[in-house]
Amino acid sequence: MQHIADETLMERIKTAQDREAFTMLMNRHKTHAYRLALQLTGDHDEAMDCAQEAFVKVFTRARRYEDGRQFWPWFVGILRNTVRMLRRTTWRRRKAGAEELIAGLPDHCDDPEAAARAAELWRRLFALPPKLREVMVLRHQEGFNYEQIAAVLGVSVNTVASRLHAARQRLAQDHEM
Amino acid sequence: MKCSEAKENLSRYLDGELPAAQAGELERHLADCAACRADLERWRTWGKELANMNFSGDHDRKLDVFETSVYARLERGIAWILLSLGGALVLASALFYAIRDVLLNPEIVWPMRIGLILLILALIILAVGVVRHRLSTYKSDKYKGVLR
Ligand SMILES: [Zn+2]
Repeated sequence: MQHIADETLMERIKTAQDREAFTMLMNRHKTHAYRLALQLTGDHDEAMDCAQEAFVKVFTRARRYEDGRQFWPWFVGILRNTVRMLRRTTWRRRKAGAEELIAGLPDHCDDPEAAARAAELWRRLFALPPKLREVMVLRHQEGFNYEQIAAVLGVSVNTVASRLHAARQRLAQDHEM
Repeated sequence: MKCSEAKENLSRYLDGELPAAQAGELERHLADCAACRADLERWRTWGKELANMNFSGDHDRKLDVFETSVYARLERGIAWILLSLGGALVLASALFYAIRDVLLNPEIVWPMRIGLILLILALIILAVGVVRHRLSTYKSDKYKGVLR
């Protein structure tokens, strides 16, 4: 079967509520969406919740999808917003740290030192305020440039730059890694 | 260039977002400043670590039924809309009968009638509150990221 572009699938969802196209789109991006949500929330269940809810919005708000717009950055904006709404309305308070998650990091069986370094890095990342953490995740996990991050967050490029700067400084604080 | 100035631009430089002129200036500083070079290197390493990271977990099974779960959510959403529409219709009719049969009936004792007025007022206030909350979440949702 030939590959159909995300944007074409979105068109079909938008114009005909095409469920087949929607299923295809979910199948293609669910794992990536879930992983991204995991890095934004630091919690498996919340991440799954947000990833699914974000796709619900893709379907119910397909009309707002502008033709020719790249699907993934648009979706990331929706997902990030869903995470933020959940954080605002949830009655659960965030668990301290994300130890459970860090325990699930893959073993660098050949290099315990590298494993410890990675765990420490994630511990610090999850200790950052959400605004600083999300720019790091979007920059490094998604490889977005400043303009793309600015579009997702609805802030200026300069704000993105200063948040990234602040995030990196905070990560380096306390003791050297 | 002093280290403090260099530090300001280091982050942008790492992300390839520093204009060429400033980048050249920064590179000259980096050439003979080991401290700033070390910062840059460390940040670059972190970036790679963050990019390559995968958390394992027991959610593979949930990912298998991801599509089905999303469709179930969509249907629940429709059910909620029907439920609130139905509820609103039933409530409105109940109010109509209450007003017609109780409020305007002189045979019914006045505490009962005053009580009914209070109940209706309370319902209206609650409904307005719910609608306003809905609208505000809808708005902040629509203008994702809201500038601030
Ligand atoms: Zn320096």
